[in-house]
Amino acid sequence: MGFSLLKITLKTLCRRWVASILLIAVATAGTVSAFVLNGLISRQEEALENTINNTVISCVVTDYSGSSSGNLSMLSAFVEMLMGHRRERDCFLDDYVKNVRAMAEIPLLSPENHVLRKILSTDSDSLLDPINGVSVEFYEGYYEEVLQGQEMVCIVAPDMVTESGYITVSPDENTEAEIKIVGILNGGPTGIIYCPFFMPFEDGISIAFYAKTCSFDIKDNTKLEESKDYIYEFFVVPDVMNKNDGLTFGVLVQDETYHKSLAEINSNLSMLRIVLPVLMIICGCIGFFAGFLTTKGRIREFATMRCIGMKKTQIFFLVIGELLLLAVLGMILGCGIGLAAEGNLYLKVITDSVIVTAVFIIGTAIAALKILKINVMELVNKEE
Amino acid sequence: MNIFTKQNRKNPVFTVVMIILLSLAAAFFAMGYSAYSTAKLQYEKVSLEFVSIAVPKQPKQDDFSNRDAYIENMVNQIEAYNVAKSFPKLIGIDERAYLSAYLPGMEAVTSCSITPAEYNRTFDGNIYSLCVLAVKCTGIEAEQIQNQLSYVADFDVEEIISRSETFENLPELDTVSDLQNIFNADGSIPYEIGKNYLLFGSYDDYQVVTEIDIVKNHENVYIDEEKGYAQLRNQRRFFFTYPALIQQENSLIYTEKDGASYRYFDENITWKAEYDGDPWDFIESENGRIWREEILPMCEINQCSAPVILTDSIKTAYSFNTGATTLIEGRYFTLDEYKQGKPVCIVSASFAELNGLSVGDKVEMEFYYDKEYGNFTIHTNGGSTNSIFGGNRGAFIERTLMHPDAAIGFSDEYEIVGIYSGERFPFGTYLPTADTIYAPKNSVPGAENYIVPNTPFLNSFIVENGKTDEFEQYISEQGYPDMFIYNDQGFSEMEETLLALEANAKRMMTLGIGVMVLVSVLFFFLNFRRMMPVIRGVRLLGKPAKKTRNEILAVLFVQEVLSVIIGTILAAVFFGTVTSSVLSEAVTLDAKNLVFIAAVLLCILTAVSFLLAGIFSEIRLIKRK
Repeated sequence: MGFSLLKITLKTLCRRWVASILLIAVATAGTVSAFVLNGLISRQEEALENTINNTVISCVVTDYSGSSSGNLSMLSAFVEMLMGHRRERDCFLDDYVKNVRAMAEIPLLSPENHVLRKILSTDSDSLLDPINGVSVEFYEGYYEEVLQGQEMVCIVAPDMVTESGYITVSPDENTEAEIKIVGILNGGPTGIIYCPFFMPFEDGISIAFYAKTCSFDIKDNTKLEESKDYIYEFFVVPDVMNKNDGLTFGVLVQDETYHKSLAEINSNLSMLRIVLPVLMIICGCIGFFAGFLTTKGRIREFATMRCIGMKKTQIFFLVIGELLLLAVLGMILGCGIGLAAEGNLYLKVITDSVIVTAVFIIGTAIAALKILKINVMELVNKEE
Repeated sequence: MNIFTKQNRKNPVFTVVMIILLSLAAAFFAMGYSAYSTAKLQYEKVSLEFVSIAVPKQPKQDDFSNRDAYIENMVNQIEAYNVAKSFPKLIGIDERAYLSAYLPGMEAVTSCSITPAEYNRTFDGNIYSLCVLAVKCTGIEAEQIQNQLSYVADFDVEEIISRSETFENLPELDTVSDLQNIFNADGSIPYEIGKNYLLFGSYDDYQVVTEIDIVKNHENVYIDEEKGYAQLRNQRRFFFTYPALIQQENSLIYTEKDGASYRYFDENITWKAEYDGDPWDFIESENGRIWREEILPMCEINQCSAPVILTDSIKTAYSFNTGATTLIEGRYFTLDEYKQGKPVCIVSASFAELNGLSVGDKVEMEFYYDKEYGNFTIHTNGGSTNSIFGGNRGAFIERTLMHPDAAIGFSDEYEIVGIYSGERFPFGTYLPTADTIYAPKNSVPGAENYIVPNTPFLNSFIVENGKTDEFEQYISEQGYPDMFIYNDQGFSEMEETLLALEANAKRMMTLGIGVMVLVSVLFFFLNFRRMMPVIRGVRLLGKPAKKTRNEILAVLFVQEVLSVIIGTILAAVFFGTVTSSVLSEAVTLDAKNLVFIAAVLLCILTAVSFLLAGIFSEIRLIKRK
């Protein structure tokens, strides 16, 4: 019985092949719409998350008023705090910042006409910017990370390289240190010896000094506002009204472009989140009316079936069976196209596809019920 | 009456549902299109926030010791520059002009203007330290080193006639010395002990250091703990007379006398005058006319001046693009201001602080350009000449002295629209010193005449966002690798999101088109399936095919018009409400575009209706056996 029913259904669908193809297309469109529309938001969110994680938000330390970011005369303790070296005193910002760049300068009596520049990285000093035609070559076994430590090492101009590989520096008459040369500064300024920022002159003895420049990046952009709140517990928003006491320093957070861009993207996401459900509803409605209209056009066929003795329920389930078959075919095809286009299958996609298809079948069912309620003779006389 | 209209009236449910179906499809399509055009606008808006640049690198400094290598470097740079101009994805080149401007009534940002602790003659140059001093000669030491005659003349400063007020931040100027070895034409020393002179030139004040602890035990040290600096006074304050400052004008003539060489000045140049009594009486007299009418005004022009960089896009300047220099107040120039050359400017926070200015205030600028020597010289091996702990700090820009003759004849009041912050006096040519003012290039007539081509720090190549790698590849393939440095302000991190935005927009549009096509096919299928028996009937009754076609078209057209209007209105109302609440004003729904799209849709539907109506009205009435 079931098999003969299936045979009849298939025969009917083949006989009405144009309508069948159109209805399969409608079901396919519904499923593909579910795939595409759901994929829009997830794709945008994923890309946005990557962008947020990868964007670098720089912060520059300035004087109290923000008028200058050089010659700060900022105690090295501030840099220690940024690096997290002051946790025991509950003064640390390394949970919120990364890539700290700082430069301090100590004049030297020896070698004559030289200064010692203490840096945390090669981009801590604008003079080492490659745009100035400068390059730093580290000796084998040494890397830029050495500048973040306390080793007694240095980078010098080629004409300062000694046979011993060491250079003796003396900031005053009572202090002297022998520093190992671990890198060469090509094309850069002469008269400057670069060493790690926290390098002491004597083992175990560190002296406070003053940083001339300092900048850093935000560690976790998803906690940008929280990070700013913590930063401004130790620094200030630059303003001429701030106290000029030598201990007040401003921080300029360069997040304007980031915020503007994110605002646009987030607004686009908000728009999608509102528009997409409506589009899905429209898809569903299109399916509903498509099923309704195609079924409504089969009045004479139903009349003929009733005349030959088929019961209303039989006709109803036959029609539903036809549409279910078409819907399933459409869904399968739609899933194939959707997966090819989107590559991902989400639970929401399946849910939306099923809902759209169900609405499609409901439309058909309502049309069928409406027709079957009518008297057989009226059915025969009704125009399609 | 149109029989097809009668048919529709007999079964209104079908007709209404058809209209609703097509309206929904039209609404879907219109919303898909609206979302697409909104996303495109957003893409452009976000992209505009980023400026990707390629900036020529400064040639390696250590190559200058080798002349051939230096020339090769310079030639390579020029050739690379020309090759770069032909890169297909270049948006433009910002070739900036470098002028000097006299700012009447303003203080220049000299190295000691904010704090004397920053005093460094390297940045003041001859311009800011140009002065006229009334001095009394207190001593002369003459000597001959090998064949060179030389002398040192010491002076007590009786009165400062003209000097930048910012130098009052430093301790009193009480003595200066002339070590320039400029003699009279007959070989005699131009000074006599005990006599009073007006001297025109510039001077170096004592070296300033901030490491007070290191120098406090030195002899002859002036210490200001409050301002955090010390001056080492164990040398002389050297005065550079005007002829020595303008040596490039060949004003100094070299000669020999008794086997010893010396140089003397061109007597047409006034740089010294002997006077008795009050120096101002001399200046006011007929003999002091040149001092009064030429020298003192020239001093003021230079003392109250600033370098002005004229640009087509300040964001393409390396320092601004990388964030090393950043706007802390106000805004950048608008596109309109660039194009129309509005008199607006961006100044440093130090300049604003020094002169009590803020955004909205106006600054008068009178422009100068030295046609013969240019407005600046780049010193690639600069020195921090004010520190005994000196040594070479890197490149710096020295401005040419401003002669009254070099005025270009243009001045205007410029409104401050932005204030920037950065290192006040950095070495290197790519970071501006705090005295630098920026203005739109078109604000100065004939600005293109003041462009200095092939000057790395004044030129930026503006590349399409996301194409800097391609630029480097292009340049490298032409044989000039690694000659540019790139910055895209973080666009490469944002690119993924923007590409997703673009892809989504295209998907929405495609889906909208797909749904519209499908539903249209369904619309026509259902309509013509319903109309077929009637078409056949009226044709069999003898109605001409053309008339039948027209009647079909009339019925379908009404349905299509109603559907498109309803669908578009639904989309416009809904989408417009959504976008106005969540999107910025610049990217909200453009109603005109939507109406245009609806009109196009209607035209397409009508055309298809016409075609199908024509086909079906011409159907064969009797089937072939």
